[in-house]
Amino acid sequence: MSLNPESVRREAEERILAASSVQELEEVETHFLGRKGVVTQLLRSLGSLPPEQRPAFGRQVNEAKQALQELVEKRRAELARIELEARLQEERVDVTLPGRTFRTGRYHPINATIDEIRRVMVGLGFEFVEMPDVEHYRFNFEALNYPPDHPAMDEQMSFYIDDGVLLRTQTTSAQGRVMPHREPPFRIAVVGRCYRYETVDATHNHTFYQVDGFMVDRVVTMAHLKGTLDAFNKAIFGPNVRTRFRPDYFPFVEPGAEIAISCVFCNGSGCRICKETGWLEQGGCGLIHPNVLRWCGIDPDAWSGYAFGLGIERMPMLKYSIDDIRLFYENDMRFLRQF
Amino acid sequence: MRLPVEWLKEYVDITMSDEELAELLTMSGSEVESRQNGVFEVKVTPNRGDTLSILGMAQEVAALTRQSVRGPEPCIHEDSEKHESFVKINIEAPDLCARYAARMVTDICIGPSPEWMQKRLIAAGMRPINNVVDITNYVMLEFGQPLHAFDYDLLSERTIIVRRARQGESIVTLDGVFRQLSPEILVIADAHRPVAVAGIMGGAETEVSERTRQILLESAHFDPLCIRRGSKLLGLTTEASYRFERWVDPSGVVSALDRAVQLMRDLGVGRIVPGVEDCYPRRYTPVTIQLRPRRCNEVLGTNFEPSLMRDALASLGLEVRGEDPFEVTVPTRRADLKAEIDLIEEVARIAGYDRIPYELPKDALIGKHSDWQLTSDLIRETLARAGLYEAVGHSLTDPALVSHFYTGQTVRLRNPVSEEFSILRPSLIPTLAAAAQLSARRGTKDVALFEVGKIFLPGSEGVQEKHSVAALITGTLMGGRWNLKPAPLTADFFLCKGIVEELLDAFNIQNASFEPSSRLGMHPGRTARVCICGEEVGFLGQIHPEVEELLELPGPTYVFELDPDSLSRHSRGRTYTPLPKFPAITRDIAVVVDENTPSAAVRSVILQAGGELVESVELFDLYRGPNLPPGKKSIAFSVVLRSPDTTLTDEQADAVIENIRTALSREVGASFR
Repeated sequence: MSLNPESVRREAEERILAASSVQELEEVETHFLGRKGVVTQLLRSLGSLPPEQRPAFGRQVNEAKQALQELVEKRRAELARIELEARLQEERVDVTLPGRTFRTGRYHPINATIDEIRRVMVGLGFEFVEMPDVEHYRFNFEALNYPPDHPAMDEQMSFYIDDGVLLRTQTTSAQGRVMPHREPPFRIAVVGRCYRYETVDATHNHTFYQVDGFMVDRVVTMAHLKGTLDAFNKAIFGPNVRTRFRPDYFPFVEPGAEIAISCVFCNGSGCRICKETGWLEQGGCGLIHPNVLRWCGIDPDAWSGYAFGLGIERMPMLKYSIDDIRLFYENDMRFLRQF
Repeated sequence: MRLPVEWLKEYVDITMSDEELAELLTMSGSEVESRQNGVFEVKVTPNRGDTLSILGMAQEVAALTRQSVRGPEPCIHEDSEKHESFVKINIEAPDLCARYAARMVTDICIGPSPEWMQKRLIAAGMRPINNVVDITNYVMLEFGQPLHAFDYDLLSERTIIVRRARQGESIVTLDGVFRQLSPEILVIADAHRPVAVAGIMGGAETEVSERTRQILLESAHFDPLCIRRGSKLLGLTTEASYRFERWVDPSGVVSALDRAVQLMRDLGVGRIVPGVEDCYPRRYTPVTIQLRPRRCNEVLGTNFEPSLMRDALASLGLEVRGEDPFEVTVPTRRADLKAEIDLIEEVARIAGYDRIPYELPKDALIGKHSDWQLTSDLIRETLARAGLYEAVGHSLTDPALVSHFYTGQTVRLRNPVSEEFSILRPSLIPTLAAAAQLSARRGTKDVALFEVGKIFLPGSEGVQEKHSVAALITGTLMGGRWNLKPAPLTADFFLCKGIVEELLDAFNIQNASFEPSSRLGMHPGRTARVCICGEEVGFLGQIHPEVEELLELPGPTYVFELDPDSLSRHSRGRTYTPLPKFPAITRDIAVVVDENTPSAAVRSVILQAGGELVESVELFDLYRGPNLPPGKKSIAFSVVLRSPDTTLTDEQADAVIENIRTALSREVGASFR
């Protein structure tokens, strides 16, 4: 038995460094350092040596064993890293391939707009109420200070279901339903569909959405109305939008005004969208007419209020440059997927 | 109304450009909708009948530019003294005709009107006819007072009677149309018959013609409502009726008449018969309204000086006296000014709305969404997350479309624009199906839509409006094209049901049952009603293949419709279940039963027999095939057993499973694989 610890160590070192995979390394490890390995055998041969040589031989073998173990660990880490790298290379994908389709649905642009309006109006202190689409003449017109058969109703040609029963032409019909049952102060809002006898084309529809807001308090002024709508429009269209008020007539308000916003495309300088006027009409507003308050049992000398009604379709049409109002009701998937 | 600026300039100084003038008028309430070649198209609001004339608009411009109107001075040159009455006027309906005045012109020589007059008429949108008619129209445009000329010699007994038409009376109007009259309609009659429909159109029999030698010229004030109703009844709107409906100044009746006959004399049309017959049984007098300057500022939110208010009102031709309050006398032409608030608007209008500041109300109030909005938000969010796109369908729909799915009564409009939009929808499904049809026609095969909205049903107390939620799926959802696993979701009954279950879960409804159901327009074997605690809350299923074909849907199409208010009612609040402390044991059972045993029946036996240790029962396989006897199917469930306070042993689990097996054999005749 002439195994030399030094030569064993040298041979082992060579083979450890030469191992090209973790598996091969483990075989080498077992060969030298395993229970029946070469180094273990060296230690076992200790007994056959003369006593005076034993300490030095034992130290030599133990040193070699420790060094080899360290070398194995180092090599194992190296090989593991190399193998991982190889695997990662192999797992490479073509990142330009399309993603696996995963679609959540989308909200309809009209309802998404209504959601936005609701957030802003709730922030302004309005409480939303639900109102019927099928309305009584009494609430749609009479409560709102329309004299019988007044020409103002020509602009609101209605769909009738029965005597005195029609599809509401304006969400303003909420006023006569809500106010008699509330103690001021209050701020009420209602949003929904309105209907007018119209033939359908790119910019008109017999059905459209409107949001109405009205408030009653001790002293409500035209300045409050202007401030509220200006804040509303800035929240919806951005801080640079301007809101313009000009006299207009609606039987249920006095003073009455038409609301327009500075054109969001040209910022008021005039373009095709705003027909070179710089302004886009948005709806009507004013201070609630004393006759309406009286009809609702509210004393116009003690309370005052404002009211406004805004068309909704126009907002997504402007926001997304939609040029045909009919698209909203067609529900073409190719349209709905764009929002 | 068409407004030639050149004509306007005759009565008021205008130094600004047309563009500036248009802006000024628009910002004061008379919207100039368009302008071309010096003619404005002005949108006059229904309350401002007084501005439906050159002079009315001149008054507005004068007020806005702080000047006075130069009105045409009514100066009548009657060629002799009045000698005898030429007409007897009898107003039998003074409630409908407050004033009726007439003049007579003789030696009429019918011919064309002068070119300058024709030009102005054309600019204002009227067609020149002859000198007499043109002058009446010219004065109407100028003063806003409609006039009518009768052939005097064709009037029977020199008599004018203003009365309601009698039942059965009729007239042929100037447009040659035979019109049946009724007592709601006011007429001008001579001794024997109606000769004009008051305020709307004259009669053909007494029309001015080439042969006319003498005319009777009418100028009157009629009740706006009466004219409007008559105009609607006859389906006839004229320049005259348009103005009478919107108020014509009762004080201006005679001056317009004078202006017209003077023009006839000056233009050599005829000779004025001296005297005016003016019957004014119901006199309008100017009203006086108080304006408190402090109130004015309080309403507007402004700090206007009282002098500004006075000047604004005075510039409109109102008489302002006193200091605080102002006593404001409103001329009869401004019938729209009835109360202090109306005067406040006039102050704001003339001062300019842009002088009112922007200010937010100071007191805070708590805003909130309605309960329904919150429910609808939950539904919309759940269904959009499930991959469905939100649709918005018309409430007005086509009965033919609806009839595929619904045979009950619907709410029908009396006056639809077209049959296509003639009823209110009783269900959301037909409009969703129409959308799928449209998508298919345009080449889209994959449709996934939902709508949350109102449906309408006839009820004993009028129309019943209900909320509804419906969805439609066909083709593939989340459909990708390239060949990856797992395959895209393809619409089928169970995908549809999965969406319904997800929606029920959003409301935390865990006890819904699905029962086979038959329904118009639906596949008889693939339709289920959805029940909660015995209450039917909606249905789901496949659209009947016949209907699918009729509607040209892109392929097998699945729908559901539920009542969201019922879902809200059955919704329970969520409570946290403590996370389990002890491990579970999972056992699979494959149950072989008759083909027509519902899986829900098997599941409920497992739950019952398993007792408290059963945590969940999940169906994971359904098998039919050669390894089974004919008419049998195998349903495999994964049963999770867990105790809340100890680690279960295999023996305990075996005992539970044995119980379940025994019960299954007994209750549903099951065997096991």
